[in-house]
Amino acid sequence: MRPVSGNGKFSAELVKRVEALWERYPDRKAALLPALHLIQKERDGWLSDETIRDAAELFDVPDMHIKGIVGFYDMFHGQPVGRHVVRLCKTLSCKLRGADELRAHVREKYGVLNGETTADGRFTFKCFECLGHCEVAPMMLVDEEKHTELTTDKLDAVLEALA
Amino acid sequence: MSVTLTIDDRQVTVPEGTTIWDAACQAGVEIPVLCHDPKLRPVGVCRMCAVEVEGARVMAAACVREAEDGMVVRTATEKVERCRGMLTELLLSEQPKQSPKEATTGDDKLFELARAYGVKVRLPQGNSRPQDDSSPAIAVDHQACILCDQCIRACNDIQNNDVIGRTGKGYTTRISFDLDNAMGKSTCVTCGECVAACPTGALINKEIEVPLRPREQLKTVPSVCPYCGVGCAIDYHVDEKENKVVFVDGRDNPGSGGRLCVKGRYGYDYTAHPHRLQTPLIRVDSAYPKGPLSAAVQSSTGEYEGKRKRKRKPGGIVDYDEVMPAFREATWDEALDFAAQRLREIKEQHGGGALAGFGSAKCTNEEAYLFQKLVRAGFGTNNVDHCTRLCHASSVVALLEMIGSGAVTTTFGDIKNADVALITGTNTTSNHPVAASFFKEAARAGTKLIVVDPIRTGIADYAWRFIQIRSSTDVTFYNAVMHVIIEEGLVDEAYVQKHTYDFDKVKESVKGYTPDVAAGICGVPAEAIREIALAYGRARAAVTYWGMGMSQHVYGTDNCRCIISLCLMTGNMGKHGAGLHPLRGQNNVQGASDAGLIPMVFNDYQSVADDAIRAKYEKHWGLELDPKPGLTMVEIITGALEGTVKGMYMVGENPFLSDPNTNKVRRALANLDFLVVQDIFLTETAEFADVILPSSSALEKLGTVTNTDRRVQVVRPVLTPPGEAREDWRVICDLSTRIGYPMPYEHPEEVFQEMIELGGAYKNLTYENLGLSGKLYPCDDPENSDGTVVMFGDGFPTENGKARFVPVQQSGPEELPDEEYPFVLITGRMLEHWHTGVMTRRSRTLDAIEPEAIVEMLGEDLQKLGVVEGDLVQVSSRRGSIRLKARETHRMQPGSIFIPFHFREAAANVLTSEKLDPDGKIPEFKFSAVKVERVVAGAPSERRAASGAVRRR
Ligand code: SF4
Ligand code: SF4
Ligand code: FES
Repeated sequence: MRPVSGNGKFSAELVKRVEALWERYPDRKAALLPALHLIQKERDGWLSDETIRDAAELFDVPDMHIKGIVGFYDMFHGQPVGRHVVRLCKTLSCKLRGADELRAHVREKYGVLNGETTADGRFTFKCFECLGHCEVAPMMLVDEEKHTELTTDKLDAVLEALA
Repeated sequence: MSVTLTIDDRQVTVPEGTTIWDAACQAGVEIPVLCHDPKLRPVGVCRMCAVEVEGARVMAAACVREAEDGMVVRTATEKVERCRGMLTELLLSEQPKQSPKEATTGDDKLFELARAYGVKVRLPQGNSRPQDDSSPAIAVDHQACILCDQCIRACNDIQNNDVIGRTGKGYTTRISFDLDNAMGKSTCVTCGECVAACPTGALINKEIEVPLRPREQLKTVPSVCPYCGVGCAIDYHVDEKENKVVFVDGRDNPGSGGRLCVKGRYGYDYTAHPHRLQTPLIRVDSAYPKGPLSAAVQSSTGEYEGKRKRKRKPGGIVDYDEVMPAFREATWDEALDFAAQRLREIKEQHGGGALAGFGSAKCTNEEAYLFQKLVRAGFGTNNVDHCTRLCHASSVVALLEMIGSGAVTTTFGDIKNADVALITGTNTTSNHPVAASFFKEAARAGTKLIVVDPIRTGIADYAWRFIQIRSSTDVTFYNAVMHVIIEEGLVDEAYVQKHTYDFDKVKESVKGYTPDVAAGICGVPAEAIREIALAYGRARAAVTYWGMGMSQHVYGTDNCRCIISLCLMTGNMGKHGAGLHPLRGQNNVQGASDAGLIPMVFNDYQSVADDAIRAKYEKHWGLELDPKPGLTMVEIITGALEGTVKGMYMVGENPFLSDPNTNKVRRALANLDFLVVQDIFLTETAEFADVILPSSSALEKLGTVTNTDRRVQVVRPVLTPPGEAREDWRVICDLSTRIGYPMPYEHPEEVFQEMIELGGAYKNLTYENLGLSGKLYPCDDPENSDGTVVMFGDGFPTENGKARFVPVQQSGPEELPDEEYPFVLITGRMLEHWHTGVMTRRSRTLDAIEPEAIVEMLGEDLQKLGVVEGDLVQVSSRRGSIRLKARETHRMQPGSIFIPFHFREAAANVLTSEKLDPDGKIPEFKFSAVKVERVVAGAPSERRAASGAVRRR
């Protein structure tokens, strides 16, 4: 185990927060998920192979260990993303209440399919499994903020307001 | 606590915590598994082992579920069988129609199950997952992968290489290498452990020499790897008709545990290379006066360039077309008679001292013993040596002087009992890969690895602390560590009192070596030195492993004395997890030394100068022997150059590449009146021979070899020697007889028993009781015990039974970098190659991975020289220069470069100096001042360009 001090690849602020996370778990590896969210934020919202290597070094784990995590969890991005990430729920409750129509609308109006980024780089669109707000379906998450009981108008209003 | 349960009506009692599967094995009940192997940590992902447990709601996975008291388990009910059948069908529906494994080595567990359950696939079959053919030795078919995780655990938990993981999820999940790279472009070291673990056709061996066929159709011979001192046990699967190895398996034994590295698993095909020498050869008259024959040997020394108009070879192994015209084929009788006659003449004219022999650490104990007997009794001189002189001679001198025995005091596997392990001057992951896997495993389990090395070796990546000291400052560093240990009162006074003497001398001599003083010299923080001293000093058990980074210096013996003192003063001797272990390089360097292939001693380290000992040998061998210790390797070469040594017999040695200062060696070889070379290939050295005798490879004879752990193992004939080639021991006997000293042995074991009769180290051992796993010598009870792991629990084999402390002071290297030669050159080895490359460069797989000579240096150093990876550079020292490709690494220090010595076209030893350690007589291979210049631009090899970008681990 390398001594705590970061590896010079991330901001001091981030390293401090990762170290605080380490305190909370029996071993450092256990803090990987929350730490990777912080790292993803600091590195333009996605985890490139370069970033994965840096993170692996910080955690003293093999590269492939983090690569596997990034490939498995939908909230980590292994490819570059737009300035915002729009996650539209596609699971049953939202589906019953019109998620499919919203998805078709996004395709038509913004020209992006699931996983694609708008030409202007404004947002990346992703269809997601249940995001846990069935009572206000259909819903979507834009970055970390949720928008509920969507209609096409409501959706447009939110997306158009994005920088 | 134990629990008793019933499995299929059989009662079985097992310790608490045992799984149902293990309990069933014990009860003799077979439960099929796909994701489980007793060697691996159970993960329970395939569910093939499902069983019914009475009273339970659902079935249980036997491989992970713990047995409970009173449990009633049924392993073959109709329900269980139905489920297994369904599971097999589901898995099979995703498989290729034919198993890639059954088409090659056989043993596809899934297809076997399918047959057992009579499964017919009714489901639609998918076939869309990719294949990966990028590795030179291993083919990956993701379609055949059942995601059982066995390869992942084999790579990460057994070999500790951390290459394989999983990516994706759902249907797209697959095993992946590093950052989902192609296998051949990942950090994979091609050890093949994953292939051995894979139960399906997802990971298979590629064909090497002959088409792969299932084991059952081949002859299987249990033997030992011919390469490094780890001595891994191997099952060779042989096509008898072709007389070729088809593929191999690691064989479980207490030392290597079934593991192998790339050399052992894929590097056997040199034995069947068309270059194998098959008839005795005699030099034709027109090829005198003697000199180098091939363009590569001429130009490798730089001197001949320009003089002759031959085109410069791009590199590679000896060009037979250039060399063969200088020789004619002869019968064995003619060649042996001629050799014997010329050697006898030299002896008669100039005395035995004008003759000398180089034996080989690649031959068996029996052959080593016979060779030294031939030289001592037949030639009448003690001028006999072998390559131990070039690797651990200084370690052995220091060990003999201080603890009275040159062998290791513990095994590499015993690291698991250590809480601190000092690993210094050894690139273990490349040179002793399987031993390294045990080191890494121990590190995972909590042993603190302290790695001290000027190079950031692979094992440093697993270290608790890695100290990158400046080259050649080892003595200062360890003196400072001892200084702290003494200051802090961490000396084991009771041990020092009872088992050692002269401790005061060391205490006195390390006084000046405070961490602060040492810090400046070694280039490491004083605090780090203190920290290491405290960790080592406070350890319950600390063990030390070292390699040629310690020994191959002009003060190599001093380096070793330091670490021995450190070990003794902390009482880290004679108990598990402690002790001293110089890691031996060749498969039989320990054995060759034990057998007396050393100028000063008979077998078992008995001095030739001791009258009583010599009398014993004189009586047994029936003639008078020379009381004068013989010349060592480099001294013999010097003797040849000066004309005092006139005739030589070399078996399996290639001093042209292995010895320092190639230019001098070339002149010395050319200067010999008569040279007999016995080898399996035309080596660079053989170009200077008068007679060449074709011998057998390690896979073609019966005998014993002794690994770095002191494990004596039987090697068995896997193949028959090609053409008229003969086993070395037979040739040695024949030659001896013709010289006038008859050796009428008929079986190697007669020789083995003679060795034991004259020196007791291998006492009690016979070929029979060595069996398949071999024994660690000394072994008092071969019937019941594996032999001795820990030596010297109570005193040492010295005159007073005590170990002696020997104080040492730092001295400088012979040659310091200066303005003209600003770089420090360290020579060494690569994972894929072996010694002078004679074998490994004739192995397809190994050659495919590392085909060319390279020099490794830091990116910043390359930049300063205006060189990029792949450029051709010229490296020169005061002794000569070579040209080779530059490769970037992060493992060196600024101003240090690394060159492996396997490549004749860029022989590293053109650059090294033949200055010797005064005690060990070992040359300085680890420190020469050189300069580096750019010659032409080139392209980095594709594979390296990719993996170079990937950080190890
Ligand atoms: S060959 Fe060895 S290093 Fe390479 S992936 Fe397989 S187990 Fe890992
Ligand atoms: S570790 Fe050494 S003995 Fe084992 S397979 Fe590799 S080269 Fe052979
Ligand atoms: S063998 Fe038990 S779950 Fe795979």
